Amino acid sequence: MIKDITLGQYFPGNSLIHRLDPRMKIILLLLYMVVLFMASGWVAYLLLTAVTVFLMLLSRIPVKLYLRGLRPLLIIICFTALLNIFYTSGEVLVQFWVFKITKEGLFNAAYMILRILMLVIATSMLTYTTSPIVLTGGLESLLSPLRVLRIPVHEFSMMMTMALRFIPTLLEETDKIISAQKARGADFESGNLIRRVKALTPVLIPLFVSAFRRAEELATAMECRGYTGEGKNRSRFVQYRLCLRDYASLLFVVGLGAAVFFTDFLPF
Amino acid sequence: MDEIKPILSAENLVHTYGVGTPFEKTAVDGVSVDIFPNDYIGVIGHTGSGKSTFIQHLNGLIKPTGGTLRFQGEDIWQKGYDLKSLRFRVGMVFQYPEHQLFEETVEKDIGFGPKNMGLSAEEISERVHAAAEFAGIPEKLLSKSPFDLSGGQKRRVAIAGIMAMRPEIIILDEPTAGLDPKGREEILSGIKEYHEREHAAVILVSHSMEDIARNAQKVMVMHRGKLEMFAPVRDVFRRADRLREIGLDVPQITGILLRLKEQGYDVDSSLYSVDEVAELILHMRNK
Repeated sequence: MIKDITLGQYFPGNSLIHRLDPRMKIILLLLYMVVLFMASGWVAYLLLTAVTVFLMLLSRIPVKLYLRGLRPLLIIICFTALLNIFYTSGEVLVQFWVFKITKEGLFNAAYMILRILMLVIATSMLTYTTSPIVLTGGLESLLSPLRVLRIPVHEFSMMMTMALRFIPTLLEETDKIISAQKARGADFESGNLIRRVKALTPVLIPLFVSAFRRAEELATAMECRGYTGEGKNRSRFVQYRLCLRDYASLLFVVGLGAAVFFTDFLPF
Repeated sequence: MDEIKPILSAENLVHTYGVGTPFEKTAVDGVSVDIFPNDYIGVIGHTGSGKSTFIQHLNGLIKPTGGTLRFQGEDIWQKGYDLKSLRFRVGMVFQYPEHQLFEETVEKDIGFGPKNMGLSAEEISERVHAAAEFAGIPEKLLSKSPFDLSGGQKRRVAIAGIMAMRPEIIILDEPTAGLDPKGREEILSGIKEYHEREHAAVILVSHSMEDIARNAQKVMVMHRGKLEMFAPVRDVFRRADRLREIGLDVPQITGILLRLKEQGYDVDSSLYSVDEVAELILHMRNK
């Protein structure tokens, strides 16, 4: 049923990657992406692939899950690979009709595939190992300098936190309402498109009513506990503090970047 | 005498959620039960004991991962079985059913089920009025918006919406949760009336041992997905120790009798109605 959809998937764990400071994780992801796009030549890609596999193992998330995340991108990956194979000029290997396959084309295609794969894997690693609440907390802390420009960073992150918090609740609610209306003979599966959309009314109305009710209750509960939005003296229960493992991982990624940069100067 | 056949029977029913994922959990584990026409069955069990999952099998809302469910002798999961019409015959009132109201008027909302059955306008109207009477909804509320009613009234409208389909079995998942004593009483007496007048079987899930003791004939006790006991009310509440072991309790009145017994009085602890016990205690005092 609807419950089976895993949104913003987070898989609880206690690996080194799980325990990193969320702010550092976000920064590291950005750095890692830069490094990915700096890479050129097979040595650099080999190095990056090895590191990505190492990190995947380190995260203790089943490799199967990473692969499942890649499935929707299969078409894009194939498409880019094909484009690269046929549209790169260079030393011709095979030629038929108007198509030419060049050695450079094959390499480029392979690099492109690797680049997309690693990009997706790294991003999923962030969401797999960081709970949504922690992620928005980290994001808020990173974006807090924007407050100088009068951007309500705290309010945005609170809204995001609440939205994420209520996704599973609303999914469950939808499931329940669908069951309840089915028990009264509602039919969601047959008929043409217009009929089916109409058939959703008995689900959507109760869902909206309950969403508004929940929102009101939540707002009242927050006000009762003295929430007034971003105040001058608002403190946080969870204080992020960078520790050794965070600096070490930063050093690791910077080192990786330097290594990738210097592969360009290798004689092969 | 003709042998009475069960109207609904579950045979070794199993339901496992999330097969093949890290969240795999067997919520219902080998439950076999026969439900006869005219039964009034109470279902009790600790939160998470599998009651809700079990009852949702009874009208084919969820498919069991093992075992069979028969309605009037026919396997409801066999190919080509008409599940939609089964749902009109096995009515299900969910927890907090007032959250499913959506129509402009109470009358239309109660009529949603009958309308889906494809009945004529007169038939629908007749059933809506009959159901409203069972559920204790005054005529003048029928033209109002369901969203303008009080919580207890909304609950009754939702229950009437199921009764209007005239199901042969009506299943209610905690229909009195969150209501005041008067609201509870009104709902329970409406259900009893439907049970008696329509000769329908009732399955009542409740956390209130009092409600069960007062209304049900038989009790199903669920524990960790298994059917722990299935017996007449008297026999179930006699086993207070086991009930307490699995996080349940006996009705207060049974509790009093058990205490009396501990004190050395010779009382029959299988009594569970307040009147019976009051008489017994008065009798003992006069001795």
